[in-house]
Amino acid sequence: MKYVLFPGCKIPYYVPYYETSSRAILERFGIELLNLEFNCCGYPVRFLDFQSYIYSSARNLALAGEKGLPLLCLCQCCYGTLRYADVLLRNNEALFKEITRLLKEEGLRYPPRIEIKHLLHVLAEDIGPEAIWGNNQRPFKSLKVAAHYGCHILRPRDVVRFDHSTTPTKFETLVEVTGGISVDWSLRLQCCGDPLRDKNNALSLDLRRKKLESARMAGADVLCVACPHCQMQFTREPENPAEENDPGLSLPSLLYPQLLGLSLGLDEKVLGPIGLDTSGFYTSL
Amino acid sequence: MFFRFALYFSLSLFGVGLVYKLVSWFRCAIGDQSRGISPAMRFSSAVRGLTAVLFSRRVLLLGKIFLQDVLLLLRLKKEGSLRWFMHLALFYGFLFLLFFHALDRHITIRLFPEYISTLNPFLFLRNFFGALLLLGLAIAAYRRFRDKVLRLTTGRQDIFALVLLGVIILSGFILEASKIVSPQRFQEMVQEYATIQGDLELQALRAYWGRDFGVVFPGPETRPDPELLKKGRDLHDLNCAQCHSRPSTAFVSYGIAKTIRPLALILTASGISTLLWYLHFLSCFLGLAVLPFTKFFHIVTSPLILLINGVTDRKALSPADLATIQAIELDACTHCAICSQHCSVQPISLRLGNPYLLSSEKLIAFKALARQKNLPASELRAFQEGNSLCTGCYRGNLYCPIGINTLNLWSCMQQDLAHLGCPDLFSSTRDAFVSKFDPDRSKTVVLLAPEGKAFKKEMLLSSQGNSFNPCYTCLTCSNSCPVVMNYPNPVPVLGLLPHQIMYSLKFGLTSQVLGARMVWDCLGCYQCQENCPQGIRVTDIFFEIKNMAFQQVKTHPLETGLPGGAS
Repeated sequence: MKYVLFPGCKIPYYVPYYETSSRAILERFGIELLNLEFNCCGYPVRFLDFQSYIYSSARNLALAGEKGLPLLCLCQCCYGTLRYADVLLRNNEALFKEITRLLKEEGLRYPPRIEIKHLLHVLAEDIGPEAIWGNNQRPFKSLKVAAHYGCHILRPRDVVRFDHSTTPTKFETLVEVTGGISVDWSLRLQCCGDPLRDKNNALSLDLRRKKLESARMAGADVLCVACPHCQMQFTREPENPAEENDPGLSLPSLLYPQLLGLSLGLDEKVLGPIGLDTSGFYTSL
Repeated sequence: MFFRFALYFSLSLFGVGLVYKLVSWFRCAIGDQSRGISPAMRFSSAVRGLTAVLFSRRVLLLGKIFLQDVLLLLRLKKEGSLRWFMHLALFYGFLFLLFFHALDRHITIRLFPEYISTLNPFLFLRNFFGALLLLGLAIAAYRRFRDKVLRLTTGRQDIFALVLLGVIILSGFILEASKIVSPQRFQEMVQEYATIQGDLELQALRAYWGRDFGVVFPGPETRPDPELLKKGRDLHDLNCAQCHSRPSTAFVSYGIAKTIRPLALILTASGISTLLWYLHFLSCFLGLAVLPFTKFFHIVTSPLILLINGVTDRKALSPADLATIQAIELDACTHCAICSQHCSVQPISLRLGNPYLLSSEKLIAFKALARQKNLPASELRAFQEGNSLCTGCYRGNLYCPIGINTLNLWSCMQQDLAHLGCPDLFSSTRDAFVSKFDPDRSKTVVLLAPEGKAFKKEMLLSSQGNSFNPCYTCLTCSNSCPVVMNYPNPVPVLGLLPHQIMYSLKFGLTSQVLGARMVWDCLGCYQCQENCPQGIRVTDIFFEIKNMAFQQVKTHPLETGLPGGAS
């Protein structure tokens, strides 16, 4: 299987290990990745200029479409944004015409069909839980994991279509095939709070604290995420003494490919900072 | 006399400019880090840092960087062979002509005591490197014309640099050509260097030089007889050959000389040669005099930044040193626009018509900002929009051929813009609207014939942005909103809750809605929309009304009361 990788803007500087760990696990399953230079997906200007957003997305989809391969996103915000742009373009003739005209100036063409997938999509459907379980070298036995879905892989349901939007199970299944025990927690479908970072930091921090409390209450040892924004939010360095001493903010967070990489027995150097000592979790309770 | 005067004059201008720039590196405020640190402190810190590097092992690293990144320009190779070749051609063409032609009396003659400018290999090499430089210039001009991003970012500085170098090189070639064809020059040289007796000998030498050296003599062109030519050749061997190679090795100038043959006598007679000479050295001196204030300055600053960034660890730097290095970085940018060619928000920049989203243009903006000039408010807002929309994709850093840390620069630029009363785009727009919110609705007129219908027609951006009508305020959206749920008493904080917003939109109360903090604190998590029993696209509507707000701010900055809106 071959995909075009869409790493997005945040990963190269802020969460580079998301890319390296994803590449490592995908390689294990024989998945090839094609690298293209994309532009911003358009998410950061959705609130500001609709046309710029759609054009940015469309340009990326046109570039990927030329290769005739499905697109694999690591960031959920990119994923949701690209999916939404595709839906809008296919349902709005006037918009489609205008964007087609703009793309034509660059010699690009909007593809008649393009598959846009998120990493979790590829793992849960294209590779499948059985294949993942069969590849484990060192599955966890007692690690309790709170799977944090992230917003834009579930909602809006008529756009993204990954799993049932209010009672999803696919991420928990993916956690369980690493041997991890997925805990049920009340705020599992809620936003991490990162979209309000630098816009309303107090609120952003409140939302983070609530999520972490909910996960801890459910007995989680670690949070598991699949989006650079969520990971940045949950692993942000404390900015003042109050945050530093806030016990509500301390729960390690792993990106899913890191968690899977550990159970597949991959080198921790490729997987990036793990943030917790996992050695005790490979034996049963 | 005039030559000397012009030389010393431009040299002193260059010196003054250089000192001015050096001082500015320690004075220029960059980001919050630099506030409260005096230039003297920055200077002494820099001296300490420099000494620490020079007396450590890192000095070896400096040598490696100088070889790889400065002399071989290896970082540029990543951008493709053509670009690399272009810069190598410009770089080595310029270096050779500077050291072995412009400074020949100081450098060439010391290295090669037998040096004479009219003798090979110098005659040939001068043309070779001149041609190389010209080729580099041609590629640069062609690229700037062809490439979409380069065309967009090419500014006066870039054109000035290309034109000035072009004038210097072309005037040099044409000057050399005019000397080749000139019978006066021939006469002068004969008088100065040769021992020729009688008219016959002169005739012979003229015949030989006319045929093989491209000199154009007045009078009708005749086929000289072989005897005369042979005599001329002997005389040449005796008198001239030691100091003058055949000009055909100066292949560019000789080619030009051949082309201008028919005009040769007019050209030399009307003193155009002298004019070309003036043009040649005066354009060189102009380049020298303004060097610290043009992109030519990167000859000094780019290697400097490569070396500094190669041996320093950003995280371990003191704020004083960081500010100084960043000030040098602003001067080190060559405006090659590689960063902009890779810029992640390039399509957005094109759509919004704001060049300051592109890294290379933003750097120019930051330079203007750092000089503390009184920039118009509209300009500051454009800078702010550009900087606010940076996604931090890191490609600017990665692709910059001299390794400027652009991401660091942008966060300082954000601080400096805020310092000047121009905070980030989102907050300033939000605050402008929220400040006009009418909490008890005492000033809000609700029309009996609602404006909702007209307004609804504008909401066409998202899939069903105008889908708010079926709302019957069941509160499901508000109850599923994590922002609403965060507050025990949300209304005083958020102004209007999502269901109230949907209902207000039916009455076209847009300014009331845009004044509600709720709209601006929306996470875009789609919980409200997902749970709405009426299928209203609540989150999409939130996105869409913010779009309207930004459109309003763009078209009427004054009415929304943004800082500097009076301009």
